[in-house]
Amino acid sequence: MSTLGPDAITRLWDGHSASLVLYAQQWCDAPEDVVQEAFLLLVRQAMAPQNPVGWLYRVVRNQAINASRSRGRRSRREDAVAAGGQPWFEMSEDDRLDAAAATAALRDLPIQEREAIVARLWGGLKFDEIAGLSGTSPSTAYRSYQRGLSTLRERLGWKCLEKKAKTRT
Amino acid sequence: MSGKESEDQDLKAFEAALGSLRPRTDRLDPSFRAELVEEATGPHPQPLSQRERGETSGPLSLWERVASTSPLSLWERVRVRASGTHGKSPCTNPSGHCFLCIHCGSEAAMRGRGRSAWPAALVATASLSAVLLVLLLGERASQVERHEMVTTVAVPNDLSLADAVANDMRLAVSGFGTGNERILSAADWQLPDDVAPRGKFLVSRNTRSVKDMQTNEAAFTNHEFLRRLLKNPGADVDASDLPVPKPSNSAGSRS
Repeated sequence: MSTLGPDAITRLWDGHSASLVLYAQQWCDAPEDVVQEAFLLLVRQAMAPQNPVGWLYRVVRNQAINASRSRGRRSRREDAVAAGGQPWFEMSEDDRLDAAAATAALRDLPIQEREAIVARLWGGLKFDEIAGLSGTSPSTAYRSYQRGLSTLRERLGWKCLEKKAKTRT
Repeated sequence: MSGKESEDQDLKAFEAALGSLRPRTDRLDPSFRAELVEEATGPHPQPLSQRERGETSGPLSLWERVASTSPLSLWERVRVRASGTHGKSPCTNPSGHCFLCIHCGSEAAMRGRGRSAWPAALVATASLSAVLLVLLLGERASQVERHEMVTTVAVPNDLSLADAVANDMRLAVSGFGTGNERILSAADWQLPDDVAPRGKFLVSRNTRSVKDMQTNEAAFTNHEFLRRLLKNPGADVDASDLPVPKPSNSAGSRS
């Protein structure tokens, strides 16, 4: 085992930084700092972790929770105001779901369901990896994911949209 | 297609649509990627070799042999620079530092808290045991004190079970010939005659020790008499119709 080279680091950054920011955003409001710090930690490791992606998600999770604790002590009100309107996704006309609505619906989910959905959908983690992160069993992580997905679908009115699309065609 | 299948397909379609949303990338600092690559190409902390540690001569110790054969062992050493941060300014985070495992990334502090659960449980158990022991000793001391205050009384010859119960009497047996003495329990009276305790019976009030008992040879030397007493509480039992046991020299009187 050796340290990660520049190419590997670049690939990790390009492939996972945005997802990691979204993941960290589930706990704290300065996710970019947390992700950058995690990547710096990864680069400075004497030995590369066996699973760098899983390692990054774990470090980001720990750092984000720590950041939310220390920040929460300072000013909860300011955070709530600052976190209000920023969508978590890029706006695009091609998307079948509205980014702002998806952000709002996702934000309202319980943290376990939110974490499972973000780690699975945008992080590409397996359920046993998600379970390892959240300290639950894989079946619990799967149930959280399914429950959160169903809730999101209801809140975003997905069935209505699909039916409308079918009737138009 | 059944309702369940269509429901699953609908959920999968929604999952795909949700997954097609792209997380924002504009919040990331574009220059940081270049910094990261630069950091990755720079010198890395490596485990110190034997030569770097200045131990080029002489035989290796046991620990050094273990460390040299297992590079990922607990004895692995990492080069520590004077600055500690590869040329960056030292960290001045007022909230402290996060220690992470270099292999799995888990937070070391959390692992520490997990392990500390056992000593905490041990301390709680020991405290509880100490409290229970003190209570037990206190109870025992009060019992001894009560026992010492009890005066042994002379037992009348025509004692009935009702009297025995009312006066909190205890019965004991002293085996003929053997000299063994023990306090009788209620279970003794359920035994058949051939295995029931035989001997000279002793009676005393409110005591647990046979030695403190007063004996009454006339009324309590017959087992059958006592059985009758205990099976007919409150009844008058005439001891005159009972067979008189043989006098025994070994069963001495305590009265």
